[in-house]
Amino acid sequence: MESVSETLETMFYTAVEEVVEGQSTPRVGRTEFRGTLNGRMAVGLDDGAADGLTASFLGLDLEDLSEQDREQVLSELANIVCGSYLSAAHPEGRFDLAAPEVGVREEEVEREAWEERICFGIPEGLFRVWLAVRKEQA
Amino acid sequence: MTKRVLIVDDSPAIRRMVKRVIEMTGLPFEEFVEASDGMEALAAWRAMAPELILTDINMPGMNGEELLAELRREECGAKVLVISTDSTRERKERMRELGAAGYLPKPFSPEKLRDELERILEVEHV
Repeated sequence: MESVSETLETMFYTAVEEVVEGQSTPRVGRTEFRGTLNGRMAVGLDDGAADGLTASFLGLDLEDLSEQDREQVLSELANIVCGSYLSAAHPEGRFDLAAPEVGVREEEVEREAWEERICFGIPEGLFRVWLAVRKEQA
Repeated sequence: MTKRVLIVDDSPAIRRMVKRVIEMTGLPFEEFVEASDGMEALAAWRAMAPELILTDINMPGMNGEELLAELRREECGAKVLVISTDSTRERKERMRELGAAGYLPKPFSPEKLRDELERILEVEHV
């Protein structure tokens, strides 16, 4: 997914290395969107990715990170990846994104119906995306 | 005179990141004011009259579009840069109609933010 690569490279100074399977990403942020497309997106990070991406984004050292920092950055990450995906998919469309919800249990997200589930390896750890898009409005 | 910048976003992470990038650019801003929605931003603008406003669009309460409409009604002289995940054509055109001097879609690099700020502030390179 190009929106993931672009977001990680431009705002988090890292890159997707490979697609991996069967891994856990327990820190999950989830958002919903309405408009030209309706649906949901969730992003998940393992602890290494959460630490690395939070430190890069906020310009902090790893030892200075708080749990609140990690949650704030995860929320923004979900927002940016989702917005980037929607704008690329429908440049002429119109969308409203809900404020991302963080602290969602990974098991709960896994039980939901998704069209896409993809997990990327990045140098800091694991980054997962879940995507569900409903039919376009008439 | 103190040069002020107002950063408006419901995401504390984005406010911190944008502030850090502006500090790194060397642009002559000495005071940073933050707001998490349009109402807070309007109150901050009335109290402090910043020269530059950076605002998100999608925020709870008063959103960025409503904020720009209010600022225009009050004849705000500040330069406004919109920073948003929404880079659809309709939204960009609407924000420009409301007086935005620039529109920076997320994701953006620090270099892109610096370039956009220099453009709208008409910074001359020696």
